[in-house]
Amino acid sequence: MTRAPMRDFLVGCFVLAGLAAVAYLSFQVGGLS
Amino acid sequence: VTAVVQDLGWLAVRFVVDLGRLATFGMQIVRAAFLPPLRIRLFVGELFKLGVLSLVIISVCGLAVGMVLSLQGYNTLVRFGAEQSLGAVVGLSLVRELGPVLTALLATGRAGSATTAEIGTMVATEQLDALRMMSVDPVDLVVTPRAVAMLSVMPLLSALFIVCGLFGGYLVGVGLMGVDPGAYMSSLRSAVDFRDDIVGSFLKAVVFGALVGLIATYRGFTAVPTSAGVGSATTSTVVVASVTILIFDYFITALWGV
Repeated sequence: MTRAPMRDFLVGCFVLAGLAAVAYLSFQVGGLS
Repeated sequence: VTAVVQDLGWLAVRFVVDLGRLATFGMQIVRAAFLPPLRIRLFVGELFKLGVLSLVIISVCGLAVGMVLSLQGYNTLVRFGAEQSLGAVVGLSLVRELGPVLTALLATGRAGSATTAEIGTMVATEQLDALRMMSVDPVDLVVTPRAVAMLSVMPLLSALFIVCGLFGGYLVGVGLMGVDPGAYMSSLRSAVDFRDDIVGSFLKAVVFGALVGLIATYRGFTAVPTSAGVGSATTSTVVVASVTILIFDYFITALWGV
């Protein structure tokens, strides 16, 4: 499979958004400190 | 009567044999996932197809579910004068049940069916046989990146679904129904616990991701190599995965209390 910069960028954004959502739920909503 | 009993026995035997094949297939995937070569580029490609392309449907559905949950919850709570607890109702419903379950069902329809159709078409057009002729293991090259990607994207999609749902619930509860924003967020934070609720929610999402990935790839891999066979395998993936998700959801909740 060849490199596709745009696709890789979108996947990176997706992973970051997912991790940000996990962090928000854990720290802001779940009260993890 | 004998024929009916025979049919029943045949169904039971076929079910057990199918379960055994599924378990063997799952072990092959686990082995291929940890042994080199690691197919990182293929894995990233599957993350794009299963994760990024499912993002819109997950976000829109999460928002809609949060909004309707808030509307229904408010109308029920206001009868008891407990509308300030709306954040807790929306948060707990989304985090503990609706987030992981609806995400898994949506991902099954959007990504699981596509995975089965893709692998089934490879079977029908003898692409997997061509790989075997070149001594390339199709489970390693075709199946494992898809199954592992499904397992990886499910917790992320579930988290995004829940966040969108909480936002939708906030919009309706605070913006439309006039609940105090501080009371909404305060009841949400005091009701949702990290260890009991958030960890359990992600545990469910991981289990559902593994189930959908395994069922979707297995159904595609064992599809009858005709166009009708691929269609039948795709339908079967959606039905079997959806029922399995709901049954596993019950047992996870009953056994582990999450």
